[in-house]
Amino acid sequence: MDIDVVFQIAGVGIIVAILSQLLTKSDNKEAALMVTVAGLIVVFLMVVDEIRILFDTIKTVFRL
Amino acid sequence: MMYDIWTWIIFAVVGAVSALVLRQVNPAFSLCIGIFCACGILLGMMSSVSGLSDFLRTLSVQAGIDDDGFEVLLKALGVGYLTQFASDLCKDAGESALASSVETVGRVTIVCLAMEPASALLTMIGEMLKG
Repeated sequence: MDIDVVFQIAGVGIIVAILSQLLTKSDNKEAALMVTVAGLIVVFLMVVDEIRILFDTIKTVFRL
Repeated sequence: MMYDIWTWIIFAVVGAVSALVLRQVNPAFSLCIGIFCACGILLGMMSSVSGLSDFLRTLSVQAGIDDDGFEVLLKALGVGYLTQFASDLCKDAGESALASSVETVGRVTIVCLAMEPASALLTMIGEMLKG
């Protein structure tokens, strides 16, 4: 659990936004969409790991 | 891993500012930052909560309260935390229908958890009325 991951997510978001802008300007809208989806998947992988840890902790703490 | 409250305040504010910056560029990423920060803050809280629940368990054992009722209470607390977390995230994503259905599921789950002690109580009352 680190604040660095927040900045990582923000960085990935900004890079994806810049790339998709560039690709849209060069008339390549499909590639722009693909880049956005790929970035979202990468970010979701980070977030899902954190959610798993949270759910495991809640399970053990409250004996659900 | 136990941080003090300032760490979590700074964590929340930094997360909020990053999400705000990213919202204009790509709203889905700002939602991801929100989910991540909420998870982190709740995880940080859980270390305190586990100490607290251990303390309450010891208290209930010392007071001679039966363990089942207390476990149900703690489970209801956990279900409440989880459903509030999920429904707030759904509200953040703009899906208030999903949020309210998750809240309903949480309420129903808590009532189902409480059914066993309630039926025990009703049986006890019935026996007292008979005898």
